[in-house]
Amino acid sequence: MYSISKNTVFLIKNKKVIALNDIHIANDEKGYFILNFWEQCDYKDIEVLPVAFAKCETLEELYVLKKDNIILGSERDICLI
Amino acid sequence: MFNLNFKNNYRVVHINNELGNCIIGGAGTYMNELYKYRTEDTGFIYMGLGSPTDDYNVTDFMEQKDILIMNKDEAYKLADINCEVLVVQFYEFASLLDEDIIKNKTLAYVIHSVPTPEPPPPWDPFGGNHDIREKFEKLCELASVLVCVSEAEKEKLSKIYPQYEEKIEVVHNGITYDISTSLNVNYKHSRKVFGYIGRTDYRKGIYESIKAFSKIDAKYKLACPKNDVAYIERLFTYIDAANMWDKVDFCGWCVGERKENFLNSLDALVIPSLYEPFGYVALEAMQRGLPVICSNNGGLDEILEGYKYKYSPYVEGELEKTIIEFMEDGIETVEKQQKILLNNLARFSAIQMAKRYDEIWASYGGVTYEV
Repeated sequence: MYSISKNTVFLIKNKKVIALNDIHIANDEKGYFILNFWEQCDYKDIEVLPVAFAKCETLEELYVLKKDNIILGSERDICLI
Repeated sequence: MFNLNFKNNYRVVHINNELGNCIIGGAGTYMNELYKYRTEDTGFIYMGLGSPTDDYNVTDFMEQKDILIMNKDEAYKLADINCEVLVVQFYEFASLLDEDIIKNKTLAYVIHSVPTPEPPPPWDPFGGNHDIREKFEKLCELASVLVCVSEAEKEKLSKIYPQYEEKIEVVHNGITYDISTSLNVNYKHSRKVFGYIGRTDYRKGIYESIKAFSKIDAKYKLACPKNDVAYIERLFTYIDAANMWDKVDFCGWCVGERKENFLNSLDALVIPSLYEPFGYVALEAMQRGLPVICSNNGGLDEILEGYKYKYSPYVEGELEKTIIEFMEDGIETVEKQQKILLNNLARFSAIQMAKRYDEIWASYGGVTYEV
């Protein structure tokens, strides 16, 4: 299982983000996951976007939110949509 | 339920669903300020209105003293609360208060907001939300005293319910501020970075403010939670259509040090509310000397008495005009406005607010509600 620990700052599409929770990627073969940055965050650097993992159980359109600051991707190939 | 050194023999007990770090908006800031300046005769009940299985951290509740934490399913336990004045802070509690709970107590209701849509439809101020209306009316009816957080809110309430006018008191909210805090003087070098901080709600006028920035050469940063998904979709649709993604940034829901840094990064804060019962966010900007571009509808007009950069949110183009005025004014003019903000702040100290409440509760010594 691939995971990113809480408070880790990492890059997504050259944008720095911080994990608000531990991120566990259950299925790293498919590796799809959603990062949502709308949760309460006290990380001081406002240039770093807060993100919280929401487990993606399906690839249905419902989960693919558009222009919504939701990040969808697979392990290393993460994209901002 | 758990008890954080709650003694259960207070004279005054406040009940709210916002306290410590479990806060949503201005009512939470208010509770924390009131807690800070509480007398030894005052206790606080935090009642979670979410799921009964919600977890709470003791460290989220300030000094962890004089506080009782419970969820709404345990509301019947309120019957055992021993106090003279029970202060309810939210209309949602109306359905939880039965006669056993309020008997032999004076009930007070602090109205942080008369829960109407904005603007309130003249034929039905509650816009068909009968459930909210019922709860609100029940509390207003039962309470011996109704406290409004601004003259504007009193006027709004009295217009709908003239029969309550006699029992309304107005106490402006207050904030703890540090006059030694370094002032934001970004405006001396730049007037290009604006921001919004607050809930995501159509009544906050975020959509209208983004529209105003479509014609202005400036950055607009928004710090808000995703509490209204449909509204956020509406904002995104507009930003897409107006091709504004290069000038609008969403920074997430900023609290603590992040909030400080968010405000420090701005040249001015936009408060575009269609109506605001009070407007705590203005005080937060004022204590830093951060200029505000502010709607004048509601309590904000009282806070910003004599201030220049105010506009009517219902007049098309007014916000845009006010922003441009701020951008083009000379440094001396903005400096003068900053002084007005700092002077006005003195009228809204948390100590003053707490003192005023103590005076009101002191005048309710006896039992006024008997079953």
